[in-house]
Amino acid sequence: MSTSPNQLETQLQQLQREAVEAIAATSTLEELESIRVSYLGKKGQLSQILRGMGKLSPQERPRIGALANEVKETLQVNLDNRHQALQQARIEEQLQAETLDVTMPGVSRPLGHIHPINSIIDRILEIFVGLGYTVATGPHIETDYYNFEALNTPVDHPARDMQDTFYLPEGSLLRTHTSSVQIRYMETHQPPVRIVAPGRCYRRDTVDATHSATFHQIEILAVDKGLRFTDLKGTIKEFIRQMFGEELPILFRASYFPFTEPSAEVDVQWKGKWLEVLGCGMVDPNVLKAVGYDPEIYTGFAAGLGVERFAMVLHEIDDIRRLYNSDLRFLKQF
Amino acid sequence: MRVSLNWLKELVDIDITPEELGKILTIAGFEVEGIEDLRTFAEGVVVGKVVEVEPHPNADKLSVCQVDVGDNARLNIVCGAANVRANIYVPVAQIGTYLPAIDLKLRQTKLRGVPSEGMICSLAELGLEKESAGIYIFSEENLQPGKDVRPLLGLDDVILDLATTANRADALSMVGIAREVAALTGASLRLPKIPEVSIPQDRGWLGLEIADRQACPAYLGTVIEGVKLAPSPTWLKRRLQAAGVRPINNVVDVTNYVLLEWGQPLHAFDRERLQAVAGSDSLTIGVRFAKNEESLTTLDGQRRSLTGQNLLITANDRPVALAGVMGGEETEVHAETKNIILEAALFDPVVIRRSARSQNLRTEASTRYERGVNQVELDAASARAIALLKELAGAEAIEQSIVDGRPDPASRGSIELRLDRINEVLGVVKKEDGVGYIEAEEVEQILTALGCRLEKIEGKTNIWKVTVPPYRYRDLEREIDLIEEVARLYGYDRFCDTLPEKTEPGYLSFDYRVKNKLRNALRSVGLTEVVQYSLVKPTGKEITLANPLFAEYSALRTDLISGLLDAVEYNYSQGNGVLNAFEIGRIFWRGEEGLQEADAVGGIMGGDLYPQGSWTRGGKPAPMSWYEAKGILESVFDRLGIEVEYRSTREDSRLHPGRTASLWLDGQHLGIFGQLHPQIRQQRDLPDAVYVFQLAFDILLTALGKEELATKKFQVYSTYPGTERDLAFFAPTGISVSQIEKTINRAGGALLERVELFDEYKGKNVPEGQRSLAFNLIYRASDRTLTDEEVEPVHQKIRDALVEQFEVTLRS
Repeated sequence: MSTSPNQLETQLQQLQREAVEAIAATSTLEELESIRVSYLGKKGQLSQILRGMGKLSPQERPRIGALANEVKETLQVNLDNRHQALQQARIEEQLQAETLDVTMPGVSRPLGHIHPINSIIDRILEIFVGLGYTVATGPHIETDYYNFEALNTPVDHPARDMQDTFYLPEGSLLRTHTSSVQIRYMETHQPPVRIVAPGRCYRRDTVDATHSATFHQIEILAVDKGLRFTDLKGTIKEFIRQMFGEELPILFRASYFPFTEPSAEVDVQWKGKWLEVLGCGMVDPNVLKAVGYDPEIYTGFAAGLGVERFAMVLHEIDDIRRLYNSDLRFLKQF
Repeated sequence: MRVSLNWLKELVDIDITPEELGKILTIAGFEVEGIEDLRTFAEGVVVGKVVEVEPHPNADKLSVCQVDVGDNARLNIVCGAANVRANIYVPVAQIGTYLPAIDLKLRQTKLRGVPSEGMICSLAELGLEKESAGIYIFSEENLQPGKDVRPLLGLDDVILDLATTANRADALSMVGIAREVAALTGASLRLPKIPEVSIPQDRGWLGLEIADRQACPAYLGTVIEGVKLAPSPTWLKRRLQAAGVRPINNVVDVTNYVLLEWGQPLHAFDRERLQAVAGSDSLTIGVRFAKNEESLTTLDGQRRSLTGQNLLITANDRPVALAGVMGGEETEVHAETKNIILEAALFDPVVIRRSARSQNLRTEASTRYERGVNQVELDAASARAIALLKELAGAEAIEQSIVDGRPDPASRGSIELRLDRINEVLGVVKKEDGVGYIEAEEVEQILTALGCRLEKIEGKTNIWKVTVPPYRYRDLEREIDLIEEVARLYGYDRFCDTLPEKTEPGYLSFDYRVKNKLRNALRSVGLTEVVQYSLVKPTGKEITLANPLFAEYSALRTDLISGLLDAVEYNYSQGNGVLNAFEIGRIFWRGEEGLQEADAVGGIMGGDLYPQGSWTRGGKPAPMSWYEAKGILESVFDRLGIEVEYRSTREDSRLHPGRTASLWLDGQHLGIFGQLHPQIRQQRDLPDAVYVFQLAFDILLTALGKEELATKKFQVYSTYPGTERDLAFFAPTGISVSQIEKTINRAGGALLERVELFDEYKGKNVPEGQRSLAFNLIYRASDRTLTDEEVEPVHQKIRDALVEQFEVTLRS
């Protein structure tokens, strides 16, 4: 069989036409691959046509060879483009298929919440640490000495009525305030003293919406040379400012605590109402003497506040018992 | 204390409003807890004269009255009181009047068909009594109809309810408050005149025998004869009512009046009744402590068993009154009383406090004695009462017996006060021209206003000798007490606000930092903070309170788990699901060294591991498995950087005996973790998946050590690939995975980087009493890629060790 150059040329041109059409008509990558094999594979149509090249004259060969290369290249480009297009389509398809309703709920385990009592303590500690105080703590089971006597409240002092005490066997008691920490700390440290003492306290109080037999107090104590009543006022004012986030009208009222003199109760006007927020005063010289400090050299101030009360005011909680009954509907609001 | 403004105005000039006065007193330490404006109780209530009374045509118990209310106006009023009659003067509330005591606004109305144009009032309706038997009928004659009734009824007054601080013994009296107001406002004081009375002594009608002169430093007993017992005059009744004291008769009312005026408790005994108790006409009043088995019926009708803590007044050694607390019923003044013995005495504050407490009693008298009444004004109060009894009951004092062991007031020294010290303690004040210190003249002025006498000490500048008035002996004893008075009267608001000149570095204590870190970790695994009561219902092992308020709260909690179980049960019953929560709190127990306390960490978890998004599993519950719960706890330990060992335990009967681990840290018992016992779960109606744990906080604290919380040190990790090997075998079920892992780790040495259990299987194809376990092991060196030749001998060593130690049957 003889093969003329023209014949070959025609065959190549026809092959190219057919192949380009076939490539364009493919709809899957698999189809495209089989087309590639059928045209460009080792036993593909192009190879078969080129097998006839050997019969061409040496003069004809380069021309036809160049043409064959051209055809091959065109097919390759078409194949590549088609491949890319089909791959793109396949991803599109996958994306379509995988599309979700993003509004449906996620699968989760909720994180734990901070209890309002703890968050108030956290906040107050942060403020006083910032003002140069360090945290001190003490036992809940106390002796009469640390809870009362060293705090200038001897046996049968009328002020003991202010805080009804739970007594334990063997003469100990449950501390009625965190002021006992003052004494324990001062006994083992020399001035300057700057402590903030948070903790649970106990009073023999009838339980109602505003009273609880267990409650939390935070007490601060500063003892140093040259501390004055004005420093107490300024410190309290700064604390209130940070706690409520703004300057509020503050009223210092004269009051009485056995372990401070002068003593004051502090009212704050918040959202139009006057709230009693804390008690404070200059440390009574008898307290300083009890721990071996010379009151002529050192002066100091102390302040104590009820955590529950702050929590109730700031979070607008109607009943103190809610803080203690562990109801998730309450806890998860904070 | 209820303070009548009208009464106070008699003692001191007041030209400010009750609100202004209230504010001044509050800032000065006498907190006004309420202002009761009595004027509002009967605003628009007028005097009416009942002109005619006719029975109601349609009702037996009602009357129809014609009432003249002045200006020729006659009102037709239907009245239900039995005591209504013609020709009486009565308080009439007219249409439009609001009566706060009964929350009623009067409107034109018809009662059983008869129109009624107002109401004839009882004292209860005007807020003057709790209950009234009928309408109030004025005892005064010739009143003018239409006149405001309030001045007639004492309703033109304002009552300040004052809280006095425990140190101010002097302020539980009108005179004391008046002195304070005078000092605060600069107004002048007018104290009641004390008549000079001379009463014969030692006539032998009344003997005194004070056994304990410490407990009773002074006793004035006055024999008073010819008492005409009657109701007190209106002015006296009004005074008492304003103070919240019920008027009884002129004798009792006088003693109460003097108590309110001077703060000195007094007591009147019926003399004949005393003699009857004494069994003799010759009376000796005694003061002594009670003996056991003595008893006394007090004025409140209570029969009281007495103890050695109770100080008694006796008549010829028979108890007749609880000294300083309450009189006895048997010797009470009564309708037929003719003669009385008036007691004016001083008792020791501590003695009265203990006596009253032991009887669970608190009275007007004991409250004052406990704080300490003014020793110097005893005679004045007694004389005032005797004079009033003469004036109001026509009685005559015929003998006074006195035992007086009071120290001479002059013997009390003065207090040294230094201006420098005042300024050192108080600091700077705001002045018109800026900032400055309190000055000497201001100190003198303030303390003088309080009744102190100041004397400059010669040769020293601005140092005074201050003499305190007797009524302030109880609370003004030291220089600091005077400094407080200076600050208080100067006004706290006039002091500057400064911050201490020096500051100190502030920081959280180590245990607070650990606590915060732990709280953070527990919250991030989904546990919510709870705070629970420390007081619980006793079960026998707890420390119990000596004086509990309620049985349910009479013991100290020994653990946190019990409270958490109650909390989880409560929440579950409320439809809140399973509570996942924790508390770091104090627990208490009785140890070998007595009462012990420590902080513990208690937690509870359960329910669905992922409670939100259950639609992804078709709404089916996916309760947390035991190992998931353990994993939650492990993540917390991991966060803290501690390695905890789990040992099977049955130590807690509330927990599933096969699903509970005791936790060990560095050889110390850290705590417990386990699933709730099915029985408890059933009793409390809880789902299966409830797990609890409790840890000893101090053991965590020790283990963490201070350095641990400090900056972490970087550890170089190997960048060479590891070599993985699997190891599967049958092992006896009694051998724990932790034991096996220990052996693998020991045998594996330095090349073995990690061991991970990836399969457990029991059942088919596994010999009885055994389980199939499969581990994945990773070998790695820090400086090279390991070859098979290096790994193989180590792996073989592990296999041999397992076979040797646990007789496992190797499967790979």
